[in-house]
Amino acid sequence: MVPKNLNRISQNNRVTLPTARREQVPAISVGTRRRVTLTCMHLNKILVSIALILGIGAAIIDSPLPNNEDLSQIAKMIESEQDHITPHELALILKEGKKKIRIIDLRDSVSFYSYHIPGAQRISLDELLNGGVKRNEYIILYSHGGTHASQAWVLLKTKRFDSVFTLLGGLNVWEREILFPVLQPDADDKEKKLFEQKRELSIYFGGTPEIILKTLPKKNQLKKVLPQQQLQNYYKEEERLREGC
Amino acid sequence: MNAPFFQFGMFDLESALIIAFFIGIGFGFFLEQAGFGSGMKLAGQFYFRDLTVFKVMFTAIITAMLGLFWLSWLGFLDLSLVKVLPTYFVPQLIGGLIFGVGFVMGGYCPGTCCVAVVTGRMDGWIHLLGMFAGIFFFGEIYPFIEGWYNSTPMGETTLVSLFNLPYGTMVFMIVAVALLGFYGAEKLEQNFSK
Repeated sequence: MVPKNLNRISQNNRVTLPTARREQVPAISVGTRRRVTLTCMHLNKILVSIALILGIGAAIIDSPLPNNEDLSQIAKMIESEQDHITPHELALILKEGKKKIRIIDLRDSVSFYSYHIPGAQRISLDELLNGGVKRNEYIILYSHGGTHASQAWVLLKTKRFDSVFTLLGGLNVWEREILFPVLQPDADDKEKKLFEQKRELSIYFGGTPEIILKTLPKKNQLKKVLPQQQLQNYYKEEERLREGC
Repeated sequence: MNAPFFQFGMFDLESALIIAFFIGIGFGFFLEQAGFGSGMKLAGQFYFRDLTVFKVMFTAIITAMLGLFWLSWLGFLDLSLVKVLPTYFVPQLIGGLIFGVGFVMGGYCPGTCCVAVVTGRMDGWIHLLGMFAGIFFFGEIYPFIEGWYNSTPMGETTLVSLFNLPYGTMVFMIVAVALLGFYGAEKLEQNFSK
């Protein structure tokens, strides 16, 4: 059986299929074909317009880098103490060794080579901001006390670094809490339990835990105030020395 | 949500390979649907009869470019983590020429020859064998040409760094060139297919 529309297609020499398959092929009328062509042209125009709009928009905004992080968001993070981790937490992460972290030492090279936290890298502030670290890294910053680390933290936060933290108290607290923890004689049970953990960590990181058994009388650190007569003699002696022999 | 997802540890290497497998299938499917499984269609562009390859590839380039630009601007994507292959000017120029000669002679590029193979074309098989022979030959001679292979290094060069132009201006220029290219391609097709 020959379909009715076959003649029209054959006239245009568009179909050269064997007879058996002709029956299965739905005929596309000239009108439908024209509609499809028009739809394609219409779609092309839409796509060209989208590309143009996005291209012009790109030229206007100039940089693909997003706007800086909202400063109030950073302030909230500081207030809610999401900006740091404690030395104890860092020590546990390092000991477990499961989490991939990048520890950045912001001190000078002399201090760095005399001691640094295991696995730390020394990077200057300038390097840090110019490709020294990447946004997909879990970064921990530390310095002597924490001032430089906190400043670097703020700078990195304004550059949209999500997982960046400072070490609370810096290396000073790391040394006090992790390397050389001290158990005072008047410590309660809770402190003793905590010291036990710290003792293990201290040995792991090559430190020396210390247990004080007896409280020693405290030495008076202040210089004795000189009596008036002694003070006058002292000034006289000073004057004599200045005059020379 | 942050992209590139793999770089931000949203999935591991195994999952990445599974995802890559499906993306690859999608890529192959659309290459086939665009008619790139036929060497005649691909060779047509060198005679200016059918510039579909040019149009498809340039469309892909500007789509990806605009996507990267705007997704980065919206904060979804970190451009510094998008891998840019380093440029070695002279070796890559020669490599490009060899690639081009192979493309004209065989009528396929590496991706489309795989599409031709799975759609059962004999010329696709020959091309694929040629490609693997080339890879094998390169692997064998690599120790002798290693020095040259790494010569004229330019680092991770992009058009923006090369011409020292603002990103946005460069994006607009490429879009403009692409659209003019599409218009010119249509005109060429009309003239040469008569």
